[in-house]
Amino acid sequence: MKRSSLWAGAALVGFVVLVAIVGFFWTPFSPTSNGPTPLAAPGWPHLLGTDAFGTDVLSRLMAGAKVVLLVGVLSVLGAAVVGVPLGMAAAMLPRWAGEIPARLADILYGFPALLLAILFAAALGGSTWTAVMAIGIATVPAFVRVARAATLQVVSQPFVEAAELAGVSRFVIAGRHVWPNIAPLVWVQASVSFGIAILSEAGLSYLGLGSGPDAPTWGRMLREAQDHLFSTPILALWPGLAVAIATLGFNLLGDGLRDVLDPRLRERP
Amino acid sequence: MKLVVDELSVRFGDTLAVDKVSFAVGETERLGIIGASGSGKSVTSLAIAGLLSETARVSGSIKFDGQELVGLRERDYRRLRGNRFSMIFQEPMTALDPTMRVGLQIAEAIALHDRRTGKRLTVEEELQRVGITDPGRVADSFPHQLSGGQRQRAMIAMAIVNKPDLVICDEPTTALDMVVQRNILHVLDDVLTDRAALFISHDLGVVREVCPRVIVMQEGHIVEEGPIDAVIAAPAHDYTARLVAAARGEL
Amino acid sequence: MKRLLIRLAWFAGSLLLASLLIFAATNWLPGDIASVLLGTNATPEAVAAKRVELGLDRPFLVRYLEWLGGVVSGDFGTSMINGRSVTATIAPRLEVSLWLVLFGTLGSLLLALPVGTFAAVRRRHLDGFVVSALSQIGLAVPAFWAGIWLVVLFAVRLQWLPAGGYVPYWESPAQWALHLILPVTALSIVQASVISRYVRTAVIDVLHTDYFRTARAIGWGKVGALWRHGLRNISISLLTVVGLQVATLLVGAIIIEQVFALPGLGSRLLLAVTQRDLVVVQGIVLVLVWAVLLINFLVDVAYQMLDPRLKREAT
Repeated sequence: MKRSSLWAGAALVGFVVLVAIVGFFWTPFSPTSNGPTPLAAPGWPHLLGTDAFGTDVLSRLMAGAKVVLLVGVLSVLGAAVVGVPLGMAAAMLPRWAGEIPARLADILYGFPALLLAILFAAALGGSTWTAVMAIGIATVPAFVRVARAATLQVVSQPFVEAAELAGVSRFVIAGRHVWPNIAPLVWVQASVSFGIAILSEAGLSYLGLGSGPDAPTWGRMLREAQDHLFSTPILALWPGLAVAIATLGFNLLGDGLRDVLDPRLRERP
Repeated sequence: MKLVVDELSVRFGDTLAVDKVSFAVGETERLGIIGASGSGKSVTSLAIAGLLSETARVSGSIKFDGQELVGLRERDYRRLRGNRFSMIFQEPMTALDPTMRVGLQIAEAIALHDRRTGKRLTVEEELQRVGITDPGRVADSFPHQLSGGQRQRAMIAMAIVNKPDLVICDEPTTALDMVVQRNILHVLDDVLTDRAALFISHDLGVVREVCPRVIVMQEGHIVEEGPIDAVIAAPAHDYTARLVAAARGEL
Repeated sequence: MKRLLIRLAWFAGSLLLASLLIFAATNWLPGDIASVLLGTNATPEAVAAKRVELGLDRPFLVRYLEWLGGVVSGDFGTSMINGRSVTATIAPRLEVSLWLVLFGTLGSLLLALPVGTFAAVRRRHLDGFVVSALSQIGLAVPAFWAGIWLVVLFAVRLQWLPAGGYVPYWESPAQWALHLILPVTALSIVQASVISRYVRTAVIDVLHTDYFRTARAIGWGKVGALWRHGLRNISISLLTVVGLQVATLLVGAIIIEQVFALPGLGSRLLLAVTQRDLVVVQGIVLVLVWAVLLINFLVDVAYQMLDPRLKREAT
């Protein structure tokens, strides 16, 4: 049982990443061009069948993994780069200045990624980039909160006080003492946020607000599959399964990391 | 005999918390169990009440009024708890539901075993019996609105409201200050009359106030047993001697 | 009282900030809406004229304050596409969204409480572990995917329920209920897995409390003690979690409306997005975000009033 969620999560994430990498260089068929046999059942040569345009479903799934990971990496990384320093500043600055980012994060916390994406898509037209921007901005508050709470704990410890008394600058303290101590929690948050980002991306592309019509995203595949629920319901199986596997992987990885990195949070027997 | 414990052992995984403990309590007898934390005294009391966590493995025999309690079905156990025997715990602040008025909690103890569904009058009578002068206000209060002494009195009222044959007191005065402790001991002395009681404490001085007979536990074993004055006058076991020495100041 | 006023001030501030963010997002972002609306063949003169017509030539702050003033008095402006009042466009669609969120919340609680409690009480047994694992999987499933499979099963295969559409309550209560069952279920299942995991943790905490032991000592069974004493202690913090989840539920509802072709705020919003009807988008997003903020505020206040321990400190 111990660490089982860490290993299960790592395995699932590893699998998705592997599929995305392979899909980057090679797919069994073209993921974008139409084929001669629409709505083929799973078999040979189309292992997972074909969609309404005769495109190979497996190839589209592999190409979709690439998009989902790209959106996830960019939005989560961007949110961390903005949110973590903000959170650290909120904890290390004098009270009044620190309150501002903390309160802003509280307000933004209720601002779902989808609504942001809708605003951006309305103003700019939907694309992979508006999706990344919306998911990224909506993820920032989570990092601010985590970094702030963790930093508050670190700065209350004697070695930080000692460094402050010795006249070490706040930036050096932040880099040398605070960051190494809060990094594990940031990684946990990144993994959890990644899971949420995948779900958000799927929702956005299902609504047609994410990547353009040519990009083979899992959400778009589900949207298209919905037109053939009476004849070929299995088309709705694979993309949803892919979303669930990827999200489950990152969620489990986050839980597992938390158990390993933060023993205080371990559940009571 | 009201309660006969025979070769009781309790095991949590690899650790043996209670090791072949045997003792008996008469119809109106009060037995003190004394020991440090981790000696197995609380585990013993919870084993009798059937409230150990499900990871505990219990063996041996516990006979209450001749009825075997080890392995008793939960449904039958439930009818005994709070009715035929009851418990008083250490920390009345956390032992009472913080979100429920005290009077309602006492009424609930009545209603669980009696179809009369805890009439308000009964609740206030019971509160008066345990020395509360304004039972109406106390019954209408949440636990945090009461003093430590009032809370513990309410706890005692809950325990005796169904006139149980046996009351298990698990460190009932430990969380209280000296003056309140003395008052609560008087209340207990009063309400435990004519029933059997098991009185668990780490404090020899407190046990001496209410119990004529005592057993001393250490690391899951009974190391000494006898009339309390004899035990204090001539402790036979090293551990008891140390307990007596530690309590010397108060005795 | 003073604390309530401070909270009220924060609430008003966040409403204002949210409105500013929404307005800025649709008005400041690059992308000239006038030329988008007129198409690629429009002459520069026509675009300039359209800008004046839409009032886009005036300063940002003036336009924001005008818009906000209108919103406060119930006027959300007029659609850029059909010239209809946005208020009149939104109002009839509130109903569907309201039912979805309301029943979605209730449904997820009805599911999550027993499931989370079971997972907590049976956590050392296989069945409890399986239930926990299922809720972990439920967390990873998009609500709209669950919705699609509910359609496949109950509408396509079994043909028990309609695959989509909506009938207002006053037309036919029975049809209304039938049309809401699947979307509400889809929303509830996914929400319930979030909440049930919280319930599980909270119930495990309760199982270790002294008051739970007391409840058992006076004769409650495990389930009875949880029902009578655990639930009321959990409920206060559960309220906060459910309140925070309302934002997720609203978003889920937007997508679910799409799956089941329900005429709610979400589907109108998406139509406005494809038409680039910024005034309608602004209006609906503002209603949704303000609703989230309002619910969080109410939950916060209710939390203060419900917890007798906090009540003492507040007075």
